[in-house]
Amino acid sequence: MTLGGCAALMILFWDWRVALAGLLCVQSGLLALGVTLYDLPVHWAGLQLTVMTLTLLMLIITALQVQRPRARRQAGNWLVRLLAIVLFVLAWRVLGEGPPLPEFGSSVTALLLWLAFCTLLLLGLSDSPLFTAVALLLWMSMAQLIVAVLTPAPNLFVLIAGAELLISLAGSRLMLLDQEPLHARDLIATDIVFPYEEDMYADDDFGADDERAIDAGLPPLLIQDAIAALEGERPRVAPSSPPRNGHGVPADAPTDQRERMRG
Amino acid sequence: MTTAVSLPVLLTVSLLLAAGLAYLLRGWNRIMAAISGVYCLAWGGLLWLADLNLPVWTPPLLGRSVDLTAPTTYLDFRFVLTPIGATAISLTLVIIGATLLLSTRFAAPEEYALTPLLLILAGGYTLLFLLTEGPVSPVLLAPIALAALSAVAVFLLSNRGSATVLRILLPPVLAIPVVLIADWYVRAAALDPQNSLLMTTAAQFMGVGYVILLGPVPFHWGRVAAAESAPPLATAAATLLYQLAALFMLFQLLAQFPAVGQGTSLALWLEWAGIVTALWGGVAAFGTLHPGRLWGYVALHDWGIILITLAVAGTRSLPLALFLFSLRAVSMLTAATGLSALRASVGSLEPARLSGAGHRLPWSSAIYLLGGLGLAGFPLSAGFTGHWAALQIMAETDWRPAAAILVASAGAIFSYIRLARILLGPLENRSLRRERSVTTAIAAGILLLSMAIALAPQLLDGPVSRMLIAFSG
Repeated sequence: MTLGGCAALMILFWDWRVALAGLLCVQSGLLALGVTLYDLPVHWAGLQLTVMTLTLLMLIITALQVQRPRARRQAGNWLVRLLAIVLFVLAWRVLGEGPPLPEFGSSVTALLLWLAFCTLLLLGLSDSPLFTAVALLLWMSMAQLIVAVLTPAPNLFVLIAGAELLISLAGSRLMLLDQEPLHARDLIATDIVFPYEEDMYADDDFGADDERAIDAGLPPLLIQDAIAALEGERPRVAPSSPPRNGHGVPADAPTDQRERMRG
Repeated sequence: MTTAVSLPVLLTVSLLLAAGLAYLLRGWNRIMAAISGVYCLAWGGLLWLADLNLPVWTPPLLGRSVDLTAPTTYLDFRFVLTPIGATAISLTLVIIGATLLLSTRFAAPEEYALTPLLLILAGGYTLLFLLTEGPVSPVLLAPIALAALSAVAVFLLSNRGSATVLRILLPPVLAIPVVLIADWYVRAAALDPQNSLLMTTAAQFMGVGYVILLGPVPFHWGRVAAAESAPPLATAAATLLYQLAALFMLFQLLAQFPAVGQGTSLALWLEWAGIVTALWGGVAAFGTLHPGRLWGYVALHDWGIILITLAVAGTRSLPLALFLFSLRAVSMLTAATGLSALRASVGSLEPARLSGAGHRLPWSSAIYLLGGLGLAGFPLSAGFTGHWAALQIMAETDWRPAAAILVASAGAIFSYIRLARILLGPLENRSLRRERSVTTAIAAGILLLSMAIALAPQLLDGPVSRMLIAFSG
């Protein structure tokens, strides 16, 4: 019940902190379930615990590095997500039980089906790399429990753990890439090229710090940086400004633009 | 007396070492891509021609004998080169070798840094094809291995704006628990052979797992996203390698567990999955103008037709599916080469920026269009004969899905005509450089190869027969 509730909260709140905390709860709960109900060997549990810690650490560190880990592709409001959950519960009640899972009691089967539904809902509601990675890891932790109970082969367990680490690593990389600006703006061809404001700070980077600065009656950080530069201080480094070549043109700018600048 | 080196060890270790070397020398990535491409093609050719009846082979430069069929066991996993595995590994290495060689000429600078990752994938897929025994049957282990390899492929495909590429992991990851449950039923059936229900249930779980693993609609999205935003040659290689492995494993599954083909509705599931995939691919292709996304959807349409072909009962199904896959590989790599060249030259694949690019880059545009049309089954393109044969076989049982798929193909072809008008429209970017003569020559060669296969598909008879003998066990 608690594990199911954690999974539901991940969907309802749709926040990276809740998602990762929920993932931790569900994975730990499934691990505890394996140890208490199905005599999962302690060293297997230790391995799973280590992998779980590493995957979560990777995702947390990445989420902290990116400025707005709460995805731009927001998955509707909480009411829509609540309705989706209620709809599934009703459908489950009407249609009855799911496929037969050997060796698992009815309550654990119900829990696994519920977690499977939550995973599919997480995947269906957003294409953000964070939530996709969380959903895939949720699914993989169910696979770990199934391996522990149905196919107790340590090598298989290790193989799935390796796949989990790779998924987490891939998710972290895409989260970092997702924050970079998509398009380089055209620049004016002069001897000294001044970058547009958007090039210095992508739209999404006008973040909470800037908002707080405005609320406090201060200019946004970009202007504060300019003042600091005039006063001889080192300005804040733009986190998303593309690397530039010797002509002041973004290195990833289209070929024609580079040609024009050199010409 | 020196002992002979085991081929699985030599092959895998040499590929992984090559990956490490390519990473260390990434400053010379174009040269490394060329050397690695030749290396993979040489291995692919050797394995294709190798006579596995001769137990020991002495390569000219190695100085030591290589035991071709020696097993290597590591942590309960047993790796042996079988005739089936040799064919699959050859195809894998040929696809990777061709991709690497093409990337040296047609890719943008950041794209030919894909060499180490492609070599790691080559090593991973080689290990999968060499695996003959494990804690569970290799066909039931395949989803886990494919999940790990797809996670590596994410790094290959990750690019700015490619956040949704992580979804290429959906089919293998979702299939893992399903096939693991099937494994429990298989072992239970072995302990209680009188109870036929156990084997039937196992077969159903395996069937469902493999339908998911093949990645039909709605598990397709990651591939289309990759086609839109990732480097095209890397996308083509990653897609073809995954699908080749999935097909290989499906054939192995059907040979190892005949109950999956006979005791379940697998054919019906595959047929419906294929129809929905082919229709959605065609309809979505009709609605898009982005050349990458269009290519992704047309490839999806083509994949749907292969799935339908797999569902058709009878002796023609397997050779036709393999023939379609061979044509698919040619068309996808042809289109990816053209798309890669357009992307590298124009700097973007936005339709507005591509306007008139065909005047300056006629050969690149031509191979992109011809490859894409091949995936849609357009007459006089590489894919036409395969599509036509598949439609005829489909129409023999029921003409309606065949007609619907023909309409979907027409939608995709219409979208290509629309894109050709953009490519040949008024030139948007007057500073766009013309193609160099070397690029033109290579593109013309690819075009000729594609046309030759379109006009004389019997050229593929040899490879398809070899694949057929190998894949049907």
